[in-house]
Amino acid sequence: MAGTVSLQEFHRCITQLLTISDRLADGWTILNKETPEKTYLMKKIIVPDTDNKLDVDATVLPLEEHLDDVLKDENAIAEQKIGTLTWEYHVLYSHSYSVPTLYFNAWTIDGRLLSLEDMWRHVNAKFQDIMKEDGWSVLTQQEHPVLRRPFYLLHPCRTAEFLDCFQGKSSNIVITWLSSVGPVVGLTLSAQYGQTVSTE
Amino acid sequence: MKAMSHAEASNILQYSPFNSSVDPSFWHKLSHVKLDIDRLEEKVRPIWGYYSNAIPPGLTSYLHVDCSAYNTEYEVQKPLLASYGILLNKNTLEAFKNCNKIALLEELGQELWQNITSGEALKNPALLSRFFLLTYADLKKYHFYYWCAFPAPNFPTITLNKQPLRLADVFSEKQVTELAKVYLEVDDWRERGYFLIKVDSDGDSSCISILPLCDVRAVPVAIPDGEDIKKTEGIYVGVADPCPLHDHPGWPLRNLLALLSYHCSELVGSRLKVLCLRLRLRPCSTWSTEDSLILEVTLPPSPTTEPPSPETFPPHFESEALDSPNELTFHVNNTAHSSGNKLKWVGWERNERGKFGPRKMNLSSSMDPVKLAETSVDLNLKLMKWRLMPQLDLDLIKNSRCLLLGSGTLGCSVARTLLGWGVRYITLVDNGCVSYSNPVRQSLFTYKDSLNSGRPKSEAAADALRAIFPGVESRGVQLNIPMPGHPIGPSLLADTKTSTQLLEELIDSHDVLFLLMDSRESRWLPTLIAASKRKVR
Repeated sequence: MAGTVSLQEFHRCITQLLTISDRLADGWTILNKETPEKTYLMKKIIVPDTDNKLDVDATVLPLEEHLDDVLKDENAIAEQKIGTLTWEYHVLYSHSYSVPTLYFNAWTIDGRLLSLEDMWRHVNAKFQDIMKEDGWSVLTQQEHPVLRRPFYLLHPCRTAEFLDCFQGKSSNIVITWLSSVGPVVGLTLSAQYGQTVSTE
Repeated sequence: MKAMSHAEASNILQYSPFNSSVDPSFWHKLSHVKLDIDRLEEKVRPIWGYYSNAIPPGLTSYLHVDCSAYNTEYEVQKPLLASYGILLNKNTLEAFKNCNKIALLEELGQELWQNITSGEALKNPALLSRFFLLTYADLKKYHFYYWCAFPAPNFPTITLNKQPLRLADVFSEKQVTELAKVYLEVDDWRERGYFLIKVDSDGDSSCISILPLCDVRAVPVAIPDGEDIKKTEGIYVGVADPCPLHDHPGWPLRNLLALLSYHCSELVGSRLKVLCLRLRLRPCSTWSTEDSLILEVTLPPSPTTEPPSPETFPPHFESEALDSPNELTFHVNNTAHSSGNKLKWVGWERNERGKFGPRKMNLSSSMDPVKLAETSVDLNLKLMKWRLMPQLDLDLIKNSRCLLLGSGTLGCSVARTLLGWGVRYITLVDNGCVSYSNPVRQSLFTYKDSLNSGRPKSEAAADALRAIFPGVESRGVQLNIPMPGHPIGPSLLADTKTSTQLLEELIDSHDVLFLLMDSRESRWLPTLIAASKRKVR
């Protein structure tokens, strides 16, 4: 079928992506190298969290201890703790659609996963209109095929159609695909990745 | 980000503490290890953490712990650096609470001190990066309590004569990039945490190299008197700095300065240039060190503290002994410098409220299978709704309390369908028991239910619903519905009165009533009651 990517091609592409990533030290790692059907790429980034307020948990309060005198420390500054969101992105191969798929998750500093509605809000402002119309077919939630935990994903049903446009013009279809769809959910690839794709 | 400094007026060097950042994958791993390996044992475990000196502004210094913590060999990708950690998982919340936190910190401090005084930390300065993680895992609720400590001695206290300088204001553009390049060429992470930087200037070009920290006694580190700190040539004491603040360094520098105070007696009183190396990825994808800090540090000439163990300080009496660190001689009566202050250890992390206390992660939504089943069902329904009927009010359906009169063929099928639509509150009523012919048509029953004269239908049905979806609140009530035209003899009068009352209560406490009985007469009374109470049926 047009626009599909074979498993071998997927592996070749992600290996190349990793080589560039190592040079740029931008955080992509590979997991499950030994099992080709389950191999995937992962990247984690931490961003400040302005939306979610941390709730005070009643069970933690009684565990606080008055150690301020014993641990008095004039050599340390007391900073206000900022909330953070940790985003994790996975690039997996979808066997049923024969295309790469982007899975991702985000959680607050106290481990709470963002809800689907939260995710939709986080989607890049430029794509909000499409989300309103067809949101559920673009960004949805499923069990991660390898980790078996709930993960969000950009649904792969239209990916082959999209990749078909690049037939023969890209030497690394995964980089082309990721650089196009990643920004929807806050994932960017440095322009340096583009150099490899065009020169070959 | 506010930095409240009590000692701003006196310009004491203040460090920005680490913030622990524990990944849910760490808790997954810890749960497995506890259930399969440790069980009830509470022994300490070595673990790995990692931090980075490439932090964008707006964030703070993090020490990350994820499932890689349990690896035996640790590989970090540049520019990350590893940290040696110790994990102590307690079996009960009580044990977690009753742990003596100060005693623990003392013990950790002593271990660090031992590494410093023995010279091991000078050879492998990565030993200066350490942390401790005290945990308690409630594996029924998937709540994880944790408290992290980053042990450091509360000395030396450094007074800064000048504000920290930004590297870009001292180094040239070329040097700022050259330093990043040379730094990132160091492959072994153990040499990227604490090191020396040598800057030679040869006319126009400059040569920057990274030297291992153990060379500190062999190279001229001290700045000559009168020389300006802004002169780029010379030797810098380098530390990978995870803090992005422009006026404070991060925690790692603390242990480094303690190490230097101890081992480099000849540097005491001289000025040193400290470079807190921070990396920044520029938009064109080259690394730069422009946001690094340069501090002018003078190691205090004589400390006002002494360690609680028999060893005493100051080190300048032991400069010969340092050549063979294992044979340090201990001078006990060096009382001229002791002012009674013991060497104190600091490092327990403060929580989000700024108090000393543990933090908690609630991972039930991603680890508790019952919760996972619930969210899965909800999500499935939402997707159907958006696709087919966006105006559908799923919450209304979910919260409808449904009363099913009759748990036979109709009752079982209706109950199943209601589950499919997300109804969470279902009560089933019947007066009979499961017979041998029932299971094939009545989808909630199995052969086992028909043995021994058969289980009461309403209860068997309610149990079956829970086995299908644990999030449902299902109840079975055995009840004989009084019917018109059927005589009620005196022996049945009391029962009939109770049944009627119970029926009325049930109808009252539910929103929707389903009449699924096999006889027409049995529908009369419920219909009457429901109509009078205006219930949906």
